[in-house]
Amino acid sequence: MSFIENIVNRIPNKPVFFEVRQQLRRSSIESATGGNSKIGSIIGVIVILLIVGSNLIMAARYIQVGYLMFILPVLATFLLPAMVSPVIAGEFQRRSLEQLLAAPISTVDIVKGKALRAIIPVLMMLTIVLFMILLIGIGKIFQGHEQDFDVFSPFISLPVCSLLFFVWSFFVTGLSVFVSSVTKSTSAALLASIGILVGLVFVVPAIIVPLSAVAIGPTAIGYLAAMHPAGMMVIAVARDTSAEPMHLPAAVMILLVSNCLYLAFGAFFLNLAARKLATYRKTGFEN
Amino acid sequence: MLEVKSLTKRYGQFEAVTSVDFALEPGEIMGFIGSNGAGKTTTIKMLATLLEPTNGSASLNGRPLDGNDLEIRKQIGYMPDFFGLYEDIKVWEYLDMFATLYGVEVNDRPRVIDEVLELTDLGFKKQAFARSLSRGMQQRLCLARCLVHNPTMLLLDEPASGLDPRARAELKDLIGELGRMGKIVIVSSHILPELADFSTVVGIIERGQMLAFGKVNDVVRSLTPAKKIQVKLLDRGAEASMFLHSKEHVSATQFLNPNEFRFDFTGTMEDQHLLLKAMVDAGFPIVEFMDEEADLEDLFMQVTKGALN
Repeated sequence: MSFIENIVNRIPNKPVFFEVRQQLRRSSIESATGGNSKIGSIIGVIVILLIVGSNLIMAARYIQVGYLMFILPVLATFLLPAMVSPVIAGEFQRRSLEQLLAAPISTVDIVKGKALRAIIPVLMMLTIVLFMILLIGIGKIFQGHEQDFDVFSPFISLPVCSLLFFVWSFFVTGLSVFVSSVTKSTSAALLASIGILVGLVFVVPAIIVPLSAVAIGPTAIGYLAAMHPAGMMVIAVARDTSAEPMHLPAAVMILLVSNCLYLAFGAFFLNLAARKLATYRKTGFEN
Repeated sequence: MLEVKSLTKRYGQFEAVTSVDFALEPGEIMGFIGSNGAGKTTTIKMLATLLEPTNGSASLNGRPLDGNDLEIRKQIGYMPDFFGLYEDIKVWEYLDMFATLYGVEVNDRPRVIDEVLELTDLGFKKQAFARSLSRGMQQRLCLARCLVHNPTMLLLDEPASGLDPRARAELKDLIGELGRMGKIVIVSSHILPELADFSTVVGIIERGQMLAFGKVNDVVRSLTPAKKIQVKLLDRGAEASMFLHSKEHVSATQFLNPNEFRFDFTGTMEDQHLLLKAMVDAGFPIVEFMDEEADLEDLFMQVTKGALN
């Protein structure tokens, strides 16, 4: 039995995990390359790791480790919709949704199963960034800058940033699954999901919360910026660079509230998607 | 046992299915006949709990076919008329996914998958990607998917559409086998010859109304009181035709060629025997004298003639 199949067999035997099992099987190098050039793919991955890794180690002294974590919300904003938005729209497109709706599984579980698909890319993104940080840490130690390698400082703490990344990923997943349930083609679902998220993360802040505002100190706009998925970085930058430091308890409270809202809206969107599927199941739909 | 009572589906003012009633016993294969848009798919979807009826009900072994009851779905295998397969999935993975969804025990899955692949003659394609299968194989894979949880009832909506003659013949054998396994099978089609071979029961639906239902022979008998008899002679065809017209129960002679014709006969078997004896006694050189079985196509045309006008 293959390594991947061993992992698949460890997944609990519940219908809700139907999508994750397939996703894992497709994650193997053999599947990703259509059963061909397994050795070539492994060599390719090793070469990329060597090039990126050696560059990171050499440039380590110039990189602020903690801020690297803030790549994650951006990655999630662009990559997760690409992975998640086809989940239901794709079923429409290939006319396989009816088979799924005929199965003895609730629409809530179908949506949960589809949303769980996001777990693998989320963990992969986190692993890659943590691996990069590890390489930078090695580089810093070799270059005698180990005092810069503080990944547990309060405002750029890896555990907290990872948690916030999970929260934002949950929101992105919920939104993408919902958009997928109301569109009938994968391209429409992808465009709509990314459009909405880019609007939320980049366009809206660019209009109402110019990032430059964080540098001008504890203004109302500066506090609003803490609501951003990368709000932790905003607070950290404002704290380090502003002449008049932000009132930290207020900023942290805003950050907490906004992340609770992300969780709530993520769950709300998933619920909407389940309701949409329940409507299809009850009243039918045109393929 | 499947019991369907007054099943009705209305979309606004349009009634897609009107008060359909029928019952099927285990092992019965129902050929569900109707032209495009007659209401076959709507009825099948209601039985598959994928569409809520406006009125009426259906039950399987006494348990209502209710969309909110997820457990009842484990007794149903539904094959839609149009279906898609996941592109990046192997044959056994596709079946494994649905086995997971239908709650088949993890230890039983490899055996169940092998069994359904053997039954559908796809064992040699177990490791192939689903997208690489031919249309006929994909139909069989979809049927295998319907069987993976060993359902009591199978709902097959136009399973033979788009198949070549060989694939159709294989599918017919497979459906016959499923009936022999004691499953209730409903097979819809508007291609009648493909249903005639294996259906034990026939249901004819047109414009949402079930116009005829019952065992194939019973329906044929009830709808065609006059059987057709075909006669072939060496010669004296015209004279034989006139001779027959002088007899009771004979009408509507139709010549196929000068010495071959068919006629409608409403008498009993005894009457038929006496008629043949009379012709032989009269010295007509008879080569053939045989009943023409009314086929489903004739039946369908006859039953739906009124409904379509």
